[in-house]
This record gives sequence, structure tokens and C-alpha cells, in this order.
Amino acid sequence: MTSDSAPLDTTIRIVTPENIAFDYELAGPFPRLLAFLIDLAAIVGLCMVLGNVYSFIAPLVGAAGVGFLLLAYFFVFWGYGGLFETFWNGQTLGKRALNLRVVSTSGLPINAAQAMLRNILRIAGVFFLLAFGSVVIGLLSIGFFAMAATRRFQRLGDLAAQTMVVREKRHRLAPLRVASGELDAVDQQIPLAFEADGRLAEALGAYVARRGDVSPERRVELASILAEPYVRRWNLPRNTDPDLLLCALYHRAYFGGSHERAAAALPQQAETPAPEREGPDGDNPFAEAESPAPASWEGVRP
Amino acid sequence: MKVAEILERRRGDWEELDRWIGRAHNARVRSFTPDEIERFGALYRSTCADLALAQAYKLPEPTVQYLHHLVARGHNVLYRSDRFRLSTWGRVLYVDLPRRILRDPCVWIATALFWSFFFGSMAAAVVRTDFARNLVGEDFLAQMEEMYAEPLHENAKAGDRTAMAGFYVLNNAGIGLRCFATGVFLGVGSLFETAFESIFLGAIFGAMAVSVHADNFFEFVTAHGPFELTAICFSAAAGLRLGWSVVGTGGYSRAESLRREAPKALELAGLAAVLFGFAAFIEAYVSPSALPYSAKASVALLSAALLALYVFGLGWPQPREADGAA
Repeated sequence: MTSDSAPLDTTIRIVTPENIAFDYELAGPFPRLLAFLIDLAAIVGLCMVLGNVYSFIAPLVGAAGVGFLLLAYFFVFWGYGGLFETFWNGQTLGKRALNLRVVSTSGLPINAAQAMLRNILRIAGVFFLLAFGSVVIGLLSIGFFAMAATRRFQRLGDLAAQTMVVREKRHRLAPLRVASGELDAVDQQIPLAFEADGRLAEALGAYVARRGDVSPERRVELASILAEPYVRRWNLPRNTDPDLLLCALYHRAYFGGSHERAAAALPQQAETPAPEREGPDGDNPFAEAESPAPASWEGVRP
Repeated sequence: MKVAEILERRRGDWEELDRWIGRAHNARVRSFTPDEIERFGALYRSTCADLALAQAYKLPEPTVQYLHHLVARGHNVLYRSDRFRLSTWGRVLYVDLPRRILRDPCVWIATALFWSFFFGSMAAAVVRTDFARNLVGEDFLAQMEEMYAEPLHENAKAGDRTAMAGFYVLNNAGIGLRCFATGVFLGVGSLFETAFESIFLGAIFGAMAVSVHADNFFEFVTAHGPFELTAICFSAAAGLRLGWSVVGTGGYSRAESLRREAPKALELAGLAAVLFGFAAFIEAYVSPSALPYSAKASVALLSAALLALYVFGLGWPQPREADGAA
């Protein structure tokens, strides 16, 4: 995540004026194709609705209505993507359904010119390929080649408008703590002097984050790899649950043990961003292993 | 106190920021009070700090991911651009664009291409009657002959005219935008589209010129001619500009060159679309009307004068601002 080289996956790192780096997850061709098909259906549906509305009110407005209907078709056909992306901040119906969003390659929201440009150029591809054969094959081929050739999955319209499409997942924040009544009992058996070093703490964090995804048996199997040596070193009972032991170690590393928690009943923190001033002092979990702050802030520096 | 515990206590703020973002996505900035905006800024900044902290202390991946996305969404709301501002578009339309048109070789190339093919095709159609017949088809020509067989008079009701205006916008402006957009493939689409249009139009003009109904035909096409033909040339020029940017990069990478030229080309294509709109309304309301020919010719002269004023009057090279872009 915070390694020096760019990760070999589909994320793009943006550095904000606040000097914070965050990652955007790029959207690949398949979700985008799906979003496009939804939009296509929406365009066709909108035109059908307009046509029906017209035929319904035709006796009232007379032949002049056809003119407005055709004008509306023009704006729906050429303006659908551009207008939606302008006023919905980079989303169309299809993109909203699939949680995609168009942003500038700089990470900023797009403006009207960018939205219009990238959508008019998409239609170019469709027309150009209509001359050669099926629309679907055309879309797949040119879109794919362009996306495969660029680092940010950009098609021609994206290149011209300097945009990219990102996934906007709503991550649910799982509780950091593991809720279990037996945790304290296990914690009591861990030596008070034990401090998890940085690598161990990281591994524990990764384990606790993913333990919900696997079955209890598999959990025990995975946890015992790391827990076994500690069980032997500290002469813990043979039947200690490895999963519980790792959770207790995790709590010790990130929150401090039950004894510390009892001691530190601190008042509620205010809204202000005080935490970063606390810095890497003796309180941090990996103080003896490394001084983590300078080593892992590299993405944050200008 | 451990860092995880500090961050754990910040959870309420994160959730509050999340709610603000949800609200701000669907609302205008003006619907927020200054206090609320300040609160949003404070929450966003403190969440940025939390993300840095969570990364530095290697907190569990889901928490870091959550913060990444929260900051990304907040960033997207906070730095939302002026998506649509009339004054900048006015400046583009009345200052930037006309100055660029005169200096843009693409405009000259597109215009020369269009007119040379047009007159070539027209001459061929006048000299050899089967040229137009083979090119546009027997049926189409017969249809044209029939359309202009009778003098133009007030047989169409106002409703039909509105319908025609809508049709002309849909069809002609659509062709113009397509002509622009297909230019992105090295300009090939624009060139093909322009050549096709000009040869087709030229053949029809040639065939109608030697037909017995030539008077009616030319009376019809006079009024909207200047806007429509200029718009075709501008669309083609916009497409060429887009396509040429990939070839003649001027030292930039091809993608960067495309990125630099595309907004300019889009502005020109937008102007062409507006001109197509003007032409469509003249074509629907003036051209087929019972007005005397002199009135229709005046409309044509007036529109030509307006175009000349726009391109030459507003766009005459300013000696001091000449930047040699051409």
C-alpha cells in the first residue's frame, strides 16, 4: 500500500493540496461497457417516452410538435452523456448504477467542456465503426485497444478531454476492535512486557481485517501458523484458541492491553485534527522496531 | 494512548463527513450556510490528517481503504469546478474563437477542400447529365425535380415549418458534429465526410442548375446558404484540427498534443453547431416562404455580412498579440 514503487494494480495516486495522497480505483472496460449499455437503454427509453408523450398531446399542439420532438431527440442523442456528466458531477445513469464516476486525470471534478468532448468523441467511434460492421464489435475492439494501451484505461475521448473513470465504492467501516468476551482472559496470559514489532503488527492487522471472510476452521488453521510459536514460548495451555490469541495480540498492538485500557480512561477527543501532533513517541506500537513516521510518509511529501 | 484508539474516536467525524458528502453531491454550494461550509472544510482536513496517520501507522487495510475513499469523495466535492459559467463561454465565442479561425490552416484547408470538390462536382453534373444520375440516384433526382416543380408559396402551414426546423437541426447539426468527431481518427473521418458532402451537394446543384426548375431551386437555397455552408466548413476544420494534433505534435507527445488541441477544436465545432441551428431556422421559415426573392437574398447577404464581421472583424490579427500559433 505504502511501498515506494507504484502498486501493480489499477489504482491512481492523487496528491491533494492538503499534501495528502489518496488512491482512486480505476474502472476497467467491463463495468464501463455495462454502464454504457444501461445508458444506451436509457437513451432509447427516453426517446420512446418523448415519442409517446408527443403522440399523446399531438392533437393539442398540431404538427409543430414534431419539430420540438426532433429537437429533443437531437439533444438527447448528442447531449445525454455530456449534460448528465456536467450536472451530476461526472456520472450518468449507468455510471451511477455501477458506482463509476468521471474525473480529470488530475483527480479534480470535470467541467462542461470535458464532459461534452468525451461524449461527442464516443459517438465518433460508434459512427466510424458503423461504416465497417457491427457496433458491438467495433465498440469492443477500439475501446479495448485504447483502454489497454493507456495507463488509466482511457479511450480516445478520455485522452482528448483528460479524464479517467474511477470506481466509487462505498466502503463500510468495520469496527477496529474485535468484540469477544473471552479476549481479556487470553490477554491476561500474554506477558505484560510483550510489544508487537511493526511487521508483526501489520500482519496481525491484515489477519483481523480478513478473518471475517473465512470459515472458523480455516481461521484456526491460518492463525495457528503464527500463534503456535507464541503458545510454546509463553507456555500457554495447549487448547488456547489461536484465533483468539491473534486477536488479543492485535488488540495489544493497536489499542494496548486490558491493563492499559483500564488505566487510561481518557476524555473524548475533540473534532480538531490533533492526532498527527502526537507523533511517533514512546506511545506508538512499533517504537522499538522502527521509527514509522518518516519511513512511511513518502507518498505524502510533495 | 495508542493511535488506533485515537482514530477509533474519530469515527463519528468520518461518518458526519460522509453524510455531508452525500448531501453536497446533490446540492448547490449556495444551499449551504457559511458555517456549514466551514464545518465541511474542517472535517475534510482532519480526515486527511487521519488518513496520513492511518497510513503511517499501518492500520488494518479496510480502515485505510475506507479513509482513501472518504477523502477521494470529499476531494471531489470540495474542488468541484465551475462546471458551466456563461462569462467564460462568452469570451471564447467573441474573443478567442474568431481570432483563432483566421490563423487556423485547418479552416483554410477544409474550406478549400469543400469548395473545390463542390464546384468540380457541380461542373461535372452540368456537363454530363448522367454524372449526377449515377452519383445520387435516379429516384432522388426525380424527387428533387418534383419538390421544386412548383413555385415556392405559402402551401405549408406554420406547424410543418417547425417540424422541418427540428428535422434540419437533428440532421444537419448531427452531420456537423459527426464530421468533427470522426476527425479524431487522424482527420480521415472529417475529410471523407466533407468530400462526400461536397460532391453530393455539388452534383445536386449541377443537376438542378440545368433542370427547368432551376429558378425555384436557387430561390430555395439562397437564404440559408451562407450559414449552412460555412458551418460545414467549420465542422470539417474542427475535425481536421483534432486529427492533425495527433500527427503534427509540435514536440509534445501525441496524447498531450491531442489533449491541448481538443478543447479548441470542440469550440469550433460548437460554433458550427450554432450556425447549423441558425441555418435550420432560416431554411424552415424563410426559404420556403412566399417572401419575394429580394427579401431572401437580403437575408443571405445579411448572414454573410455577419459571418464576415465575426471572422474578419473580431478575428483580424492583433499585431501586438500575435503569438504565431498558426
